[in-house]
Amino acid sequence: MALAKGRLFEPSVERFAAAGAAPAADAGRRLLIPSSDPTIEFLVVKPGDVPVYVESGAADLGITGTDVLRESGADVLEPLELGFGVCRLVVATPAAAPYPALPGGITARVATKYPRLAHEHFAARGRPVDIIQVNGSVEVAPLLNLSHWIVDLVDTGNTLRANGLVERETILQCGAILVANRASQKLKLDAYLDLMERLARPAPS
Amino acid sequence: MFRSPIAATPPGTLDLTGEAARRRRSLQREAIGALERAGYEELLPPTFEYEDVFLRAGGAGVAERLVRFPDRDGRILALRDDFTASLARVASTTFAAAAGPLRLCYSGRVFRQEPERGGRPREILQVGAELLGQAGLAADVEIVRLTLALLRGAGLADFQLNLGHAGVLAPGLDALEEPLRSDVRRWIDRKDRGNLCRAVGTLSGDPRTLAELPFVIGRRDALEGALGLAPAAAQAGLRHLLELDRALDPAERAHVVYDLGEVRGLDYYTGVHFEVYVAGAGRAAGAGGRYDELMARFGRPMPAVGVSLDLDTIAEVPV
Repeated sequence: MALAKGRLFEPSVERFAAAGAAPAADAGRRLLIPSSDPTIEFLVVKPGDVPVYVESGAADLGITGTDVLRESGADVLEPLELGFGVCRLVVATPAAAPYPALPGGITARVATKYPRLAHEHFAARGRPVDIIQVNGSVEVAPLLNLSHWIVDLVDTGNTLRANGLVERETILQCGAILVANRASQKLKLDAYLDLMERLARPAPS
Repeated sequence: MFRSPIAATPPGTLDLTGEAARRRRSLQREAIGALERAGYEELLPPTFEYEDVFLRAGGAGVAERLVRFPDRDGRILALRDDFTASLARVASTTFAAAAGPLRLCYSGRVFRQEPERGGRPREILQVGAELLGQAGLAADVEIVRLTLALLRGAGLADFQLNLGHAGVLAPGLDALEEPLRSDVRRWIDRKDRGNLCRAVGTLSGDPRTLAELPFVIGRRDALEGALGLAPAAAQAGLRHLLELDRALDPAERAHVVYDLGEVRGLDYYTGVHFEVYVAGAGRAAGAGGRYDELMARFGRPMPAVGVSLDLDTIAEVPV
């Protein structure tokens, strides 16, 4: 079971603990962590690597965000939306910037961690843009004229506002999602169905 | 001039040596031997053909998948992405006068463009068989049995065929309007029960059965249970699968799982269809089924059923 480091990690662990598979507490710096269910072992990787591990079958299952999953284009099963980590992928621009077109026939430059999703969004609307891939602090790009606009994840919108940006369009509603390898779902069907039932059950309160 | 490092091969290609090469060669020899003994004649079609041959055969995503290049006269050639198209062309030309069913087999590499990200092969070693000109259960059973025998012959113990029928989900899907139909099909493909139930749970008639039917998976009893869930128009497909199950012996049945949730081949397969899964491989190691509409696209309408196995995947599985 591949888990994404970062904001989805804690809620993922809680969900599995509620389903009877709590990760061992004394894991330290190990990246393979046994759980209280002997059939489940956790693997902790970067969010963007979860689709890679699961698509290849190196991991049977994983939890990642819809944003990362769609950006990866991985061919995996998506049996369960988990309901946490909810946010949205948006186009944002400086408050004063013209939108959706720049004056003088200039092609907009768009900074993003999601080049594939950004490209698909604008291409589907017939709006040519120049995509610039960055790996973090995307909000700063328009301030320094690296780009005109950005495409990024938004939760509360505080980071956007603090940097003088406003949301213009929503590209994708995102949230944590359970993904499964296509072959392993068939070959380990009983274990898969059992886990699905345990995870879908509402947590005892 | 740009020179690539001498050690580099293009992404998605491999040099195979030693045991990796020997294992593939012996799998190939074993499989072709078994197919010939079963009455299948080996065909060696060209490695590349006019792209039209492959486009005519159709199938999911073939236009994006072809590796193309211009011929000297400017016509567009493509490396074969599949043997079925070439076999269909030969069956409708060279063998046009042949009487009775045609049993053909092949082994070789197919070539496929993949998105530019690591890990997906663009060259795959296949072996396969096609039974052309025979409709009905006996031909379906022959191909399923042959597939199981090939997998056993490859020295595999832990493998399974996930068998479905194109007629089971079709009535429900056909009754939906676009774009809902595409969405529903995608949710079925991803086993996304939540979105699927929200979309079809409120509908009536055949589409409503799509909330449950795609999740039917198991042995004979699962199929019998599905008879009660499926719309009238899907009963024939289910009964066909039940008859197929009856025709298998217990050792064969142990490797067969009925799985009504596979929608990938729905534009191509017209009856029974299956995927092959091998323990230790993270992707399907083969696929097959009935495609009765294919040969008509090559000017010689006749029923067809076949299988192809991915020997690269099978060769990499520890035995």
